[in-house]
Amino acid sequence: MTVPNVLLEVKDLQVHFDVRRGTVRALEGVNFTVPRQSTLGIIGESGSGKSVTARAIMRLLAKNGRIVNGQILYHRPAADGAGADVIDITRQDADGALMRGLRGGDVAMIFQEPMSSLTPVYTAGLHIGEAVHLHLKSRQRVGAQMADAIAREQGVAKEEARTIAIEMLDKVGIPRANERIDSYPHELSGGQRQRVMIAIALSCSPKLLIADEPTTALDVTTQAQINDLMLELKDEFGMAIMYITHDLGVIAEMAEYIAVMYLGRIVEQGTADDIFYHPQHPYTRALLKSIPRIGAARGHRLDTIEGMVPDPFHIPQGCAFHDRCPEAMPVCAQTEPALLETRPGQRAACLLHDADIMTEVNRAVHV
Amino acid sequence: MPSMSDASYLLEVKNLKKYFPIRKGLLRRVVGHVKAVDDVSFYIRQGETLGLVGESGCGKTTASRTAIRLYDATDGEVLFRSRAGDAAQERVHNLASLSQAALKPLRQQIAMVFQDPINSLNPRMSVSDIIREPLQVHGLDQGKATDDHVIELLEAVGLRAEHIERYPHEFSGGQRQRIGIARALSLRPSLILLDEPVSALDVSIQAQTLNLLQDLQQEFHLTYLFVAHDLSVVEHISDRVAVMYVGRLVEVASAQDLYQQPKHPYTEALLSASPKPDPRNPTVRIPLEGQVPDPANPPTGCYFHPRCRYAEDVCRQETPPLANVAEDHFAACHFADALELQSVQ
Repeated sequence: MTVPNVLLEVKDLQVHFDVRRGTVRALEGVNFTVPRQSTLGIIGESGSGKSVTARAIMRLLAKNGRIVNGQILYHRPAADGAGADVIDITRQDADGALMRGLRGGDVAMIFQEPMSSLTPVYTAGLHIGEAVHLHLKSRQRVGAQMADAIAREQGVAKEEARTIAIEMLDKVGIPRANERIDSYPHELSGGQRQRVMIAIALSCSPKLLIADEPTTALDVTTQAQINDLMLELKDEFGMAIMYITHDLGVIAEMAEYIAVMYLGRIVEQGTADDIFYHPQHPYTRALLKSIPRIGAARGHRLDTIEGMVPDPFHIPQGCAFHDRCPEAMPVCAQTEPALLETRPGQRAACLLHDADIMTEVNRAVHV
Repeated sequence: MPSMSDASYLLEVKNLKKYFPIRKGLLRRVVGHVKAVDDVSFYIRQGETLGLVGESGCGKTTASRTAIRLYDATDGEVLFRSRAGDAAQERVHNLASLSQAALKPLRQQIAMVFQDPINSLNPRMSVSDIIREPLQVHGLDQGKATDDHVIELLEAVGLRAEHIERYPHEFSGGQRQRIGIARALSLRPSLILLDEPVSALDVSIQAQTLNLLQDLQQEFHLTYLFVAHDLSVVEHISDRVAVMYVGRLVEVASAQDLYQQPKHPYTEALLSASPKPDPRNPTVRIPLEGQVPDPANPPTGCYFHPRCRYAEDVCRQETPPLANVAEDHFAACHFADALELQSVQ
């Protein structure tokens, strides 16, 4: 993806987790770019590393997770609108002031299960109040903050944060927001809880919203409402969305750009149209063929992908997909493919698209 | 509506109701009822798949479980045609009113596959124990001889004989679901209730499992009641589809008719909300205002009227019956004949 207006760049990101059996290499060199005000969809099956990518950007990896290599460059817009500071998130203290300022302030995240991501003992209003609060705090110099902490907390933070919270609840379509603000999460439906999460995430006008399977636990009609809401708010707030899902239908509706992940690597990326109409990687092609489509001939058999996603301790050598790949060549078991441009703006990590390798292969065939 | 006198019908549910009491106060007095299933009627033909769709809380799980008498019905009939066996003639039974003792032999002919392939298998039982447990319950476990049967079942679902002594945690999600399917097949049932059998599985595993279910249906002459929320999965596997909303069926038709010519506005809205894997042709969404009503306190008239963009006065006052609107096509809408509804493009 060649994009001038970059918000986030992830370069060669590698994340490992230490577990009792050894090291899980959850991300093996992930590269992508999120342009400003765009939607990047990340699609993959379980174990592909899509959620780990999101958590690494937020620096919210579990204790046993390490970023071992790579950069996550956040291009933070300067206050006057001209230019940007480039912050390498991988080099920040995960719990430091800068990261806390970025989280919620610049980059916000919503998760799959609205019930467990809202603490049940707080009312909805208090949750939003908290996010605004945290953001306000971290935007101030530590010294100045200490000085007017008390005054500000009683004046601005409580009253104004509540007003902002009501405004936001209203914006995300919660009816009677000024009453609803005092309700507890269990009093809200699943869709409403996810709306509250979106309200919290957007209360600080983030530049990037990371949505990790935000509608997976919701019904289709609620899912449609939430996704439509996110696209509306994206335009209103001028933010970018990184949308993580396993659902090809949802991603087709939400994303301008798509990255397909398999076993900790991006195997293909391009525009949504590229991915759905000109898939270059055998894995992408197989995924697209394996889903039932409304209106297709009923009763026909679905094309399947052989085998299953291997466990993290038995990732095949060479191309990680080769032993399930219908188009695999002997060389695929030895050589790991690089992510190469196959069509303008579209890249795939497959040796079939590697000119040097294919020259070798063809020569070998002729000899 | 048909009747069970026609031998091609395996199951007919008539006016089925399942109410759960709401109790309040010190004396736990009953102050109302959640009408989880409220006057539901449908039938399933031998060898076909009936898909039952609806959003969470609509009562699809309760309706299907009441239909196979996992729950006792509050009211209504469930007619089930038992298979002719060595000692028995083919007969029609009312599952809703049979005693537990009379029901037990019939249970061999009805099985179930659950959504969650992890929690529906006992982690302390080996694959062999899991698959033969139904046989033991019915006194049909014949020790060594049954081992062959278990291996046959494992192979039928795409697992191998050497898996027989392993435990559930040694398998992936898709393989565990296969174990659950093998267990359901162990008593050679004629009807299987599949409750969201693929919704916990990865995309590529979902396709394998759907193909397997279709193969097994052919091989063992199975009839499926397939409960799910994913409209594209349901269309793929079902011969006919029933749509449920707040405890009632709003539409029942062949899969093709339901998706191409929906007759109920709720079906129309549901289809329009289903995400389509095609960025060039996004579905034109029909917005649904408000929330699904509380089944303890449903609206008057048609339960869908507060959210329906075609609603008129009659919809607020009178409950529309599930009426025959075309051949083998039933819809519960006062205007089913008049409306031109959007289908799946």
